[in-house]
Amino acid sequence: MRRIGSLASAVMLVALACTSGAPTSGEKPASGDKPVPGGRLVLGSTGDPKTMQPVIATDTTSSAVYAKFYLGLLRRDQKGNIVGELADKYELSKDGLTLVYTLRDNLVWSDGTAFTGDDYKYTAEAVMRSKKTVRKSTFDNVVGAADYKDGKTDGIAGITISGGGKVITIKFNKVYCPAIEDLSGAGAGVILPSVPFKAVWDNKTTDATKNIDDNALNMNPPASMGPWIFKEFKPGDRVTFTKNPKYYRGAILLDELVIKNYADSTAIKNALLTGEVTYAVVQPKDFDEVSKVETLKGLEYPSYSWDYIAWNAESAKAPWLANKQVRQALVYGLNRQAILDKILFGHGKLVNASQPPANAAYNDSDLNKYAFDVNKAKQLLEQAGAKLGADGVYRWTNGAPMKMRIETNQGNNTRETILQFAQEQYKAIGVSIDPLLESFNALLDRVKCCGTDNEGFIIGFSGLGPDPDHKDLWHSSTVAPDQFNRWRYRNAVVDKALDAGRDGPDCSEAARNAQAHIVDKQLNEDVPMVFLYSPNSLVFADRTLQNFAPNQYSTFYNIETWWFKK
Amino acid sequence: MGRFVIRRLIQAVPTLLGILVITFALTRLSPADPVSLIVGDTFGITKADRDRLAEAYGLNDPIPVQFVKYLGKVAVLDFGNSFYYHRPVIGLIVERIPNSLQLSIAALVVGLLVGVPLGIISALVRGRLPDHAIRLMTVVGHAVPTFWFGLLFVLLLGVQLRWFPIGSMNAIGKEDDLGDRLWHMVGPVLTLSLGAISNYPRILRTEVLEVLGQDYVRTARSKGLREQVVVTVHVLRNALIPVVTSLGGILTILIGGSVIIEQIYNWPGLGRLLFEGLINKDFPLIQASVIIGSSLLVLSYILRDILYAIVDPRITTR
Repeated sequence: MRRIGSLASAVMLVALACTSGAPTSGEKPASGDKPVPGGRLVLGSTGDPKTMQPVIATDTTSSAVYAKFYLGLLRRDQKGNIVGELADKYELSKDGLTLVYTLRDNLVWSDGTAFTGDDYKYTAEAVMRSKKTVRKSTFDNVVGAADYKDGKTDGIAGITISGGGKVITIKFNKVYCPAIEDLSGAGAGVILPSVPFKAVWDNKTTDATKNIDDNALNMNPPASMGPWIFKEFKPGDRVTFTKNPKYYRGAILLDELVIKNYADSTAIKNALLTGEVTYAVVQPKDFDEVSKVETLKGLEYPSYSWDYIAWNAESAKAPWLANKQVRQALVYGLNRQAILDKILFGHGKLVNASQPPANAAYNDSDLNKYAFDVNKAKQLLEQAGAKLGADGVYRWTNGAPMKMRIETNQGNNTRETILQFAQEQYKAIGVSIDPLLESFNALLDRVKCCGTDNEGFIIGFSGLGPDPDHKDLWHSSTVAPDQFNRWRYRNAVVDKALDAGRDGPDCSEAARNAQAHIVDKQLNEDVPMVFLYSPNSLVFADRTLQNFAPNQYSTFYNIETWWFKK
Repeated sequence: MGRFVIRRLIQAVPTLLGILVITFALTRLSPADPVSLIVGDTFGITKADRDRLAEAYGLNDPIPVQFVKYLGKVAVLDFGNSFYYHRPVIGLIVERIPNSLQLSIAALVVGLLVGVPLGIISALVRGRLPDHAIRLMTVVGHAVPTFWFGLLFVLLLGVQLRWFPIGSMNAIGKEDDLGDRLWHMVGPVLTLSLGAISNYPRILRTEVLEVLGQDYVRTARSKGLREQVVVTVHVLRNALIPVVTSLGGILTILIGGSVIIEQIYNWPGLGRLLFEGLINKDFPLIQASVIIGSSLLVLSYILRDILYAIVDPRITTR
């Protein structure tokens, strides 16, 4: 829950929308060349931003846009380390109950207003009073946040500003290990300019019905702390930015940024081929074709996402999904390597648990790799009590044929193909699959917890950041309506490790990664889902763009050095 | 004429009311949960978050109450906020209409300017090579699906040969360049007008041939009028009635047709907005698009009837 408001998520969302990352194809800065100022950067994207105001944003396109002009206190550098953005110091007390950020000197918004802790507090309070935000849980442990939400106070008591606006102190009721990064974006991921926004919503009011949700500034950002200043939004077409001369790291070399909206990934690919966009993400199927274009350079790096076939352990029609051996059989019975090679064209890595390869907590050295083995799959089914029927389909212990539905979202060619592939392969191990395609939103609605009328579904997670906290996915407390544990996974060992990773007492990175691995080990054995693969991010850019070297942590960590070589 | 128009407008009211009821009911009958549609697969949504969103969008009211509230808002052109864009639907639609109209009007003009002369020529030179060529062209034009023609145009003339842009309304940085805008319109307008260019010659050829055989045409010729005058004044005016008929509903046909064309050519118009609304199951946007589209259809039929009267004054007296 809390993860959504974090810088980690914001960074990752931007990464996914615009495609970020560290190059495996290894472009090095063009040393010896003198950077030339000027030029226009054009990014290919799909869809308009729903909003340019982070408090109410729920989509990656929006976050990719507002991250150009609103920043958080911290960020990830090119090596994945948490470093200061607008804050140059941060400290979590030993008891884990007090967090202090100290801002850099002389921070100024593009409109000349000073950036202070008041901007941070204003944003946090905007989150707490918003009716349309999905980010309030970031402040669950912050003193006074709930009272402010209910209009009992005119400010969040646990957030205080001192030192002439430079020191932000946050008090917690309870230890929260991801606090340093999660709270660095004031719950919204990035920080709003309080002075202009106060004209549309006063954070000092105790009228809890008033909020920041609907106002003209949401689509017309009034000031920037980032490298770019919002210039113009043409619906269905583009968002244009100019460079911010007051950017705290110094004005960038490029003059203009355009995020160009295309109908789909094929249109983006065509725009890359014709040179209409400077850089964009391509689909695995297009990688080879675009690679042949001499004017483009390709970059490939791991992502914080993975795709899976999840099983509903409480399915009425497929009670066998509650059995661990059956689930293991369903992993052995699927040739995941073939899926990776033939459907993803090798642009990814197989995963066997929750932490994606891009994450520092990833460690698959002692995990079962579940190499494709039809006989092993059948053997496990029989050990679980299934008996092979005359029609080649196993019968479960209650005599019912092992027939079940797997559904996925229509229009996603990769998932549709995986579904066809799984149908064929599971037939070979005596499990009959009834495939179903439906719209993405209809799919989410059908498989949400806690109905029993669904069995399996293919989908993907792209909301995982560099933080190892995956409590929302696997903790038994999240087996609840509208929560993420749609597979109804419950395990006491996993719960304990997830709680320790989030609530401490040891919040060190090593300790949290160790807890994350305990979770991964158990998941790898219990396989509540078939972990398929973590796809790589595939980015192509104009060869003349210098120092463009994104990685999974960030695309824009060195934006001030980008320039076009003529 | 005035009373006629007023009568037609009054008759349109129950039609539009029926459309309102049907579109509202269909969207509410959809199995998808509107709050799920709003938040998508956002990581970490709590039940409190969802309850708050449902309340904010008025989804907790009973369906009849929602409908009555909706009717009241539609009466003042308030179609609510888009689930997807978090903005008023009417604003989203209004900002896209000019873009679509550029294509629609240009396609209409091109269709008429090319289709009508071809139909007349085809009739006047019946049985000769130009007639055969035009008829062949209309058959081929009818057989080719417009989406296929559009895709071919983009891939061959845009991506491969680079003769035309692959889409969009302007090259970046040339937003105020009329020449660049026209250049970007070539593909979508040609694709959108393909149907009209293929259809009008076929209709007109038949009509012109029929009118050419009428007594009043023979009389006009026997009076010594020049052939050009006979054709434009006596033949064309009567032969155009079927073309006017086909113009009825042209507004919606052009908007409906441009859903695909705008998607192919990346044209930020109403059609593409509607397409995105359908993909995202953005109920308020879909409802508004259907209601506005239906209103345009009714309006275009009224306009057609007025045009009838202008082309053939006898129609008014019937």
